[in-house]
Amino acid sequence: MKIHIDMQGLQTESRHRGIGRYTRATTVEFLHAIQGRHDARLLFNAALGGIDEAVVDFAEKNLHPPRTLFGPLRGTSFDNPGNDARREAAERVYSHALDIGGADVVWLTSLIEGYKDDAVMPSDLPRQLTVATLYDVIPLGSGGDLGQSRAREWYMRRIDMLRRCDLLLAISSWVRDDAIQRLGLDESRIVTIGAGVDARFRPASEGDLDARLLHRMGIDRPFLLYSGGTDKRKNVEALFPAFSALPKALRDKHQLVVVGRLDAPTRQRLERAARVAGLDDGETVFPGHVPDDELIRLYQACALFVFPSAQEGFGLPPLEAMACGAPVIVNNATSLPEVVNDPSAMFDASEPSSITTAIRSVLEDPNRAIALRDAGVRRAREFSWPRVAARAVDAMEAAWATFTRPRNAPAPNYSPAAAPVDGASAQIPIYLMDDDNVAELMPALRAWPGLAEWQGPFPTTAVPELERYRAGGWKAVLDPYAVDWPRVLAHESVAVRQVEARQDHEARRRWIGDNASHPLVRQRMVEDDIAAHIAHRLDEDDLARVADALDRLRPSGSARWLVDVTHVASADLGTGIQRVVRSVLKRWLTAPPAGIRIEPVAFRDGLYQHAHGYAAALLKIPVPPGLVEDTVAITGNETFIGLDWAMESLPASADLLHAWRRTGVGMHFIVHDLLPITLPEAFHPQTREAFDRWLRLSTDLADGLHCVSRSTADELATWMRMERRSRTPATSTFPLGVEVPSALESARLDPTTDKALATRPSFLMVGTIEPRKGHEQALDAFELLWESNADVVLVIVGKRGWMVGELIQRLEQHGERGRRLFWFEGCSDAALDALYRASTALLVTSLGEGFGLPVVEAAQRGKPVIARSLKVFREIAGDYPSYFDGTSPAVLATYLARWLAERPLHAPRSDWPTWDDAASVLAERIGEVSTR
Amino acid sequence: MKHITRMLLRRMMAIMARHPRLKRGLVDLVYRLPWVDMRLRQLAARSAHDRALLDLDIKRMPEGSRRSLERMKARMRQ
Repeated sequence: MKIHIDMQGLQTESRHRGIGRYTRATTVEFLHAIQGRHDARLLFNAALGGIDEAVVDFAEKNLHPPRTLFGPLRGTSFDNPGNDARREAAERVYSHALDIGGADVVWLTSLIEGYKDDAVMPSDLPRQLTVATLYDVIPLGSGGDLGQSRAREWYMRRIDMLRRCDLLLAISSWVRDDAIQRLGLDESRIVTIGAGVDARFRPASEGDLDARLLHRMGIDRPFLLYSGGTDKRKNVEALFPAFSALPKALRDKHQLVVVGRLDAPTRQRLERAARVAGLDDGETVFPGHVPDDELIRLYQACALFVFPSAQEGFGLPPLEAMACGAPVIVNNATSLPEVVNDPSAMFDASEPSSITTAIRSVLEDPNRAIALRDAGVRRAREFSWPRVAARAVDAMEAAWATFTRPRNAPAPNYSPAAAPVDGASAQIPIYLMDDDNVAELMPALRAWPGLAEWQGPFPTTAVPELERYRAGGWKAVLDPYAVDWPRVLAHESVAVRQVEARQDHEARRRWIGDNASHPLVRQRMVEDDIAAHIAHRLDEDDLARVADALDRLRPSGSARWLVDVTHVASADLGTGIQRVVRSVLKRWLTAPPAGIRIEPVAFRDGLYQHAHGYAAALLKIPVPPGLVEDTVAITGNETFIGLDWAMESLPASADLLHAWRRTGVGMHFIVHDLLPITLPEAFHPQTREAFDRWLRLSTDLADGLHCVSRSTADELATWMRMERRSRTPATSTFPLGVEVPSALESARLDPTTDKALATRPSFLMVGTIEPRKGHEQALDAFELLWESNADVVLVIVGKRGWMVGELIQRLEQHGERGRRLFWFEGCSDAALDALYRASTALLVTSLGEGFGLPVVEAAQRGKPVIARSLKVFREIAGDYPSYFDGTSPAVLATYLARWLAERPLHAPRSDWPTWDDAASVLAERIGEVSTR
Repeated sequence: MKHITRMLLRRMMAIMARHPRLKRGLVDLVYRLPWVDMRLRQLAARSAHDRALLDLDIKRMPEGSRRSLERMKARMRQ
């Protein structure tokens, strides 16, 4: 079976209550139970919270089910009549979300939502086997609780949906019996699956009890505990007079602790009720909501757990308290006797004296407390979530085996069209296409999707660029024959078929019936329904949101990698990092990883948009006519890749990327280095701060962090360990590549430089002039060499950077400039290649590097390399360079003089990675993390 | 102004939570004035929810969403 599970019970305020706990636990165990037998997909509502917590929770239990994010469509709560049109539209879109994807079973885990929140229920009973969890129908028995008629109308609609479900999973036998009686349900359609208690809820072991926790909460003596909701039916206020009526000596020895989420008005109400009952401040404690680990400690430490609730569908708190070894007494009402199963542990909450008597009987008799503890622990062992899930699976399988309701999607009407349609008809068009009218019909097919009946042979001419891009991405734009006409038509239409002669009405009717379940057909039918019945009550913004929510549910054809080029697309400064971005992206665009479509994207004005212009410029082709840089639509089949170092844009885009994560978008970032952290003195404070922020945001978002060297990966691991990050993404490494232009592409040097390099030993330095690169030490060393009559040349290639004002002045005014000192601030790749070829050796005096691309570039050209002895250079270049240590100019000058005298030989290496290798390895690393 | 309105609304909600009868009476009263009821509920909903980040900018819609919108608008015009 394919099962779609609605997760809104984990998203509304219910997530803080028993329904949330129940939904989480049953879903987790259900997913475990069906592994290898059935497929499940989780549906979340983007207008509600709780998605991150749920996804993390499932992932921690090694569960990674596919998920669909619906919406967001806001302002749909039933309480406001002004929301009616939005809600009706949202319900239709939500029904569509449940419907597509070939589900056999739809499981609504909490139907009673959406009165004051934006939870959405299907507009009608899904055509699939529809299952709902039934927590209770208690409000049916106390109509006053439903308040004014709007609330009643909402509740009765939900009850009507419950009545029509194919299978109800009741959380207790009492709920089942009550529902059968009140709703007149067929007994075979409602199954008790019960509830469970998590293994974390267990009696205290040595060291579990935490006096500091109790002290922090203001608990200074043995205490009675209540945990749960505080709404009227929970009857919490009955505890105050009951506690107050205890004999003074007993009361003085105890406190009453009420745990649960309390808003300010509720807290005031409870505190006042306690005062009215004659209790002093120190006698009652209201810690509010406490996390589970603290709640467990309270259960374990309490002298007695009292649960006076008047109406419960199950009663998880008493069960959890029993599991933790607390003596438990409960009201003898609704489902509670079924949970506790011990008549001696019950009282009649409608009689205050009955609660007092029950409390006294435990507090005054230690043996009775022990007996209750033991019986409670034994009873709690009979409840487990895996058993609940197993009963749910059994019930669904049994219901599925006998499910006979017709599930075929209703076939739409159709209209044959041999000329462009204008959508005047609600029918799905069948385009009668051939070689002559294809150009005319393509825009109509795209605007009004339908089926394409092609008569005659398909054309063999090249498909226009725009159509190639739509069907096959940038790779197809580069290759006129990468996609053919059948593929283009299939991409835009519901179905394509080639015919010798035009089909008759009956054949077409059958064809459209066969495609009635196609997501595009279903979407068009929902659009028509909304347009006909609801759209006139929506403003344009709301209608646009509906259209967007609807269209994003469409399954995307191929997986897409969204490569962030925000910075490089707006200002390519020619930095090493930007060279990496260009080189990898270019290879991915021309030869994408199998099954992946590469889309460069840029963050502009708060949204990510397609960066078609940048992609085309990188590929040195014009943008296909008609291709616009529209907003990126997220369907969940995407992976975001932060290839560029987006220090400035990531703080602005991080919230949006978090939202993308919730839809299932994978997140990967490239870490080029950690230098602002490892060499802070070489960077401006604001750069350090910006880098720190970027690294933290990336780590919070990422599924994978991919480092350009093992050394950088080690530094990253150290940083994550020291920072004790709550998330530790997978890390990997990939090599950077080098590409030596052919000699024909190499530029000619100007005569002065050419002569200087041809007649003297010369040392080339490549990299931005900044403190970390060690230019100052090099220049000092060369001055020493020149003073000692060594006739050597220093060539510096690099833009002026930061914190090097004095050095720049020295370079600009140096007496040797233009003779034995050359500085090229701007240098093309071809000119740089010429300098590499003409120089004697590369000199690398960097104090820290993430990779050190010039080392590999020189080595690949067979040039000797003299480099500082850094771990990263040894990692990437091994024994190839000659290594020096020390930061004094004299040490370097001496080393260079000796090197010139000895000219050590280096074995040539031919195994340097190319950019093809780099792009390919990085793609593999991303793929490995994505499939984990 | 917005801050003051929200503060007043919060205080009013706190008072009503302490006095269920008053709350029931006021809710019933406001319920008879649909426009006021709708505005108050919108205000309360806005203060409870942040703007969703996947919310749409109608001027810069993804192509597929824009097509869907255009189809619905065209159907409405018939």
